[in-house]
Amino acid sequence: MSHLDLDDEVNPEPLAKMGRRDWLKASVAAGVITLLEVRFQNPLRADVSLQQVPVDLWITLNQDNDVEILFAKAEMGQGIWTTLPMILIDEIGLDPNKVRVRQAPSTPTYTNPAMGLSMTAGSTSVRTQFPILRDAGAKSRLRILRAAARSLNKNLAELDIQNGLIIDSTTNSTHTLSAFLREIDQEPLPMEAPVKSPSSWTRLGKAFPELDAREKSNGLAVFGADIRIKDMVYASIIQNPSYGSILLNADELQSEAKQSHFVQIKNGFAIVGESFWFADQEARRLAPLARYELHPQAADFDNEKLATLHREALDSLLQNPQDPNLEARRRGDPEQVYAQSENKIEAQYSVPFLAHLCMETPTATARTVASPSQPNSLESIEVWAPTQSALFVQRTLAEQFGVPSERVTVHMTRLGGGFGRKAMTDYVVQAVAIAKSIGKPVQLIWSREEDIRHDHYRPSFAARMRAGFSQDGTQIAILGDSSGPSIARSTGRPPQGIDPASIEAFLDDPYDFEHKVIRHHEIFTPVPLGFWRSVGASQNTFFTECFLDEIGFAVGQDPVAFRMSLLPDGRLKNVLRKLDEITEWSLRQGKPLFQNRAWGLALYQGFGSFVGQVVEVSVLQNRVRVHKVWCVVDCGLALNPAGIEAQVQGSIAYGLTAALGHETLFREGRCTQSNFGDMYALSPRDMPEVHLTLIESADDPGGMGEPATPPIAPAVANALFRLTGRRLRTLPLRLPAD
Amino acid sequence: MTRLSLNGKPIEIEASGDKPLLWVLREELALLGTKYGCGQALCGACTVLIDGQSVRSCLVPVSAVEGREVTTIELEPGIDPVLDAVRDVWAEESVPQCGYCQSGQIMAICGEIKSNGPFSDSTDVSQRVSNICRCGTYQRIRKCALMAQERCQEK
Repeated sequence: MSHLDLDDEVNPEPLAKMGRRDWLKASVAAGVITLLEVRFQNPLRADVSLQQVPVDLWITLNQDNDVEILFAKAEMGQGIWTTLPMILIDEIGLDPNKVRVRQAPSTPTYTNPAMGLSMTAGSTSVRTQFPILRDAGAKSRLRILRAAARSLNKNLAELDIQNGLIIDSTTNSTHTLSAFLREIDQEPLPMEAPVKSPSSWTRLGKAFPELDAREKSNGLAVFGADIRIKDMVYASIIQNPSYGSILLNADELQSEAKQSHFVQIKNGFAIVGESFWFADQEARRLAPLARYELHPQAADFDNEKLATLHREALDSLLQNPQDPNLEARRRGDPEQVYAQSENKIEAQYSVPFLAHLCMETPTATARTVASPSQPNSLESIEVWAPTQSALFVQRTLAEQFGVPSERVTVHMTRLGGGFGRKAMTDYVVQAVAIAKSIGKPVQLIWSREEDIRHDHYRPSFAARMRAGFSQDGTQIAILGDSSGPSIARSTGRPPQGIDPASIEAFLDDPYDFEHKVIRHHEIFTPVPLGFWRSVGASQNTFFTECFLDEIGFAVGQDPVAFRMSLLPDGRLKNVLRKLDEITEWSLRQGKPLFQNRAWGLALYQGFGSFVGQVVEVSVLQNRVRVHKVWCVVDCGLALNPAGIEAQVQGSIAYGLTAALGHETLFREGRCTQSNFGDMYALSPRDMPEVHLTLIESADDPGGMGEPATPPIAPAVANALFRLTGRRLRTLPLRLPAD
Repeated sequence: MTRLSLNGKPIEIEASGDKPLLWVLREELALLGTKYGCGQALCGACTVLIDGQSVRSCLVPVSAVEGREVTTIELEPGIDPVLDAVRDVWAEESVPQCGYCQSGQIMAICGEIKSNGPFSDSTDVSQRVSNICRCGTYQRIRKCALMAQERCQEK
C-alpha cells in the first residue's frame, strides 16, 4: 500500500470517505448526511450558545449505507474509540462491523475562552459521556425511524433498527438506512427520546473486540511520526538541560554544524534534515559541544537537595502546628487524642519524581504559512500531533504565535501512550517554532533521551504519618503531614492555598477516622511537573494504605478485619468483602499456600470507581517478585468489560513500574538518566497474573483508566512486610542487601 | 547500494550503508508499521525479522542486510502462517491498547517461534520476548501468543 497518494497529504489510515475539505459540508447532494453531532460539554456561560461549543463527535451516513463515527477525543490505548462509539452503536441499533470509527480530520475552531478545554484525562470519558451519548443515540434512532415511517407510511411501532437495518415487523422486510437518506436529512432531531434499558443492549456489557484492534495489529494504525506531508523535513531537538538555563554558544554550534541545518529555538536547538536519523546523528554530535549557563535554582538542585527540602518542609509542619495555611482537612480533635493516646506510632514515607515513558516519544508535525504583510508573523498554522487536548494545543499555539485560533488547525493523531504526558503542549509549540523558522513543514521527533530528560514529572512527595490509639485499638487519632511541589504552580496556575492534587486521596473518606488532620507544606523545585496516571492518588494512596497497615499491625488486627472496622457500609466495603471472599483471606489468615510467599492488601476509591487488590509476592535474590494480583472492581455499569480488564491490567503494570524500580534522579537541576538502560520500565517477566472480579452493578459507570494504579504499590509493600518483617516506606521498593 | 529481499520482493536501497534499517524502512520505503522507541535496541519497538530471526532494526546498518530476507509487520497475509495467526488473534482478542509497541511484539513472537521453537507456557513467552509495553498488555500478549501458536499447530 502506498502512503503517498492523497492530495498533498498522507495518512495511511483512509480518511472518512468525504474529502478532507468537504467533510463538514455533508448534504444529500453530496451523498452523505450528518446523522448526529455530539457536544460533550455545555457552554460554561449563559451568554454563549451551544452552537459555539466545539463538536466532539459526528456520525455520518452515506448513500451506500456506510456509517462513520468521527471522533475528536484522544485515543491513547484506553479504548474510548471503541467504548464511546459502542454506546451509540447499541443505542441506535447499528452493526459494529459496518461502522468505521475515524479520527476527525481536524478539530473545529476553538473560539471562546469561556468554553473550557476538552481534555482526555482524569478517567472522565466514559463516565461523563455515557449519558450524553445514550441520549444522543436514542434521538438519532427516533429520527431515523420517524423518517422511515413517514416514507413507508407505517406506524413507528411497526419499525425497529437492528444490526444496521430497518426492520418492518408487519411485512418482515428490511431496508437500509440509506434508503431514507433524504427523509432522514429532512427529519428534525427529536427533542427527547427514551433510552434503551441495559437489558435491551446487544453488545454493551458484553465482551466485544476493540474496533481498531485490526489496524493496531498489522502496522497500519497511524501515529504522529507516521504523518507525511509534501515537502516535509525532519527535526531532532536538543533542549537546554534545566529550568532557566541559557545556551551560550549557539553561534559556535551553528558554524560547527556546517552541512546541516541548525535552528535555534527558545529552549534549545534543532537540527533539520531530509532524514530524522541524519538530523539526530548530527544533533548528538553537537550536543556535547553546547555550553550553558545554569539558573542558580537549577544548578543547586539534586537528589540530596530534594531530600533536604522535604525534611525541612516536614519539620516546619511539626514546628508550626497552628498555622491554618498548612492545614487541608480536619475532623474531631486529633492533636488532643494523639497526645493522650496510650500508644503511638510514627512513620515517614517518600516517593521520587516519575517519568511517563510513553512508548511513543513526543512528536509533532507542523506546517506554517508566513504572514504576507507582517514580518516574522504567521498567517496560519496547521499541526498533526498526538495530544490529549487538541483545543488546548490550538489555544496555546494561537497565543504563542499571535495567530487567530480559527487559523490554527489541529489534527489529533492517535497516541502511543499518554498517561498525562501528552496533555502538555511543549513539543507542538517547538515544531511550529521550527517550521516558522525554516519556512517548511517539519516533523519534530524527540529522541528517547530527550523524552526522559524533559518530561513533566509526577512530583516527588514525602509524608510523616502519626497515629495514636488506645490499647484495644479504638480511639484512633491520625495525623498526616506531607510535602511536595505543586503541579498547578508548575503548569502556570498557582494554587490558592494548598494544591488539591497534592493531597487528593490522602487519608480520604470513606475511612471513618473520627479524629484526623491532613497538613501539607509546598516545596519549590526547578523540575517541570505534570499529571501522571492517577495524579495525587499515585503517592497518597501509598502513604495511606501502608500506614493503615502499620496501625492495624500495631493494634494486633488482621489487615482485612482492620479495614472492615474502619469502613462504613458502602461500595468500598463491599469490594473488600468480595476480595476476602475470592482470596479466602480471612479463612487463610492472609497467607498464601506457598511458605516463601506473602499477601498484601490495599484499597482505593476514586474517579467514580472502587478497587481492592491483594497481591502475592516473594523475594528471590533480593528482587521482589509479584506473582499474582486479585483485583476486585466496582465501576458501576461495565459497558466494555474486556476493555475494563485491559485497563485494570495496564493500570497495575503502570503502578508496578513505580513500585518495583522506577525513579527519576537529578543533578544540577536536570534528569541524569538517558534511556531504558538506566530507567526502569516494567518488563514482561515482572508482570504478574491479574485475576479481575467485576462487581455487577447498575450504578453509573465510573472511570477505569486510572483507579487500579494507586493500590498496587502499597499492596506490594504491605506484602513485603508480612514476608520479611521489614517496612519499606520508599518507592521504588528496595530490599536492603544483607 | 544494498540489495535485499523485503517481504518477499527483491529491492535495492540507495541510502548510505550505515543508516539503520529502521529508518530506511520508515523514510525510504514508507513502511511505517515498524516504530522508533529508543534507538538503543533496548525496547524492541523496531523489531523485524532478518532471515526469520527477530532483530531490533534501530541499530542494524542497512548494509548488514545485504543479500538477506527482511520481513516486517506489513507482510501480505497468506504467506507466513505464524504471522497471520498472531495478527488474527491479536485483533480478535484486542491485545493492543495504544498499539505503538505491537508491531515489534508481534515480530518478536514470530521470530522466537521460528528460530527457537514454540513457547512452552506463558512464563516462557515473558522470558523470551522482552519487548517493552507501557500500556501493560503483557498478560494478554503471553496468553495470545500461546493461542496463536496453538492455532498454527492445529493446521
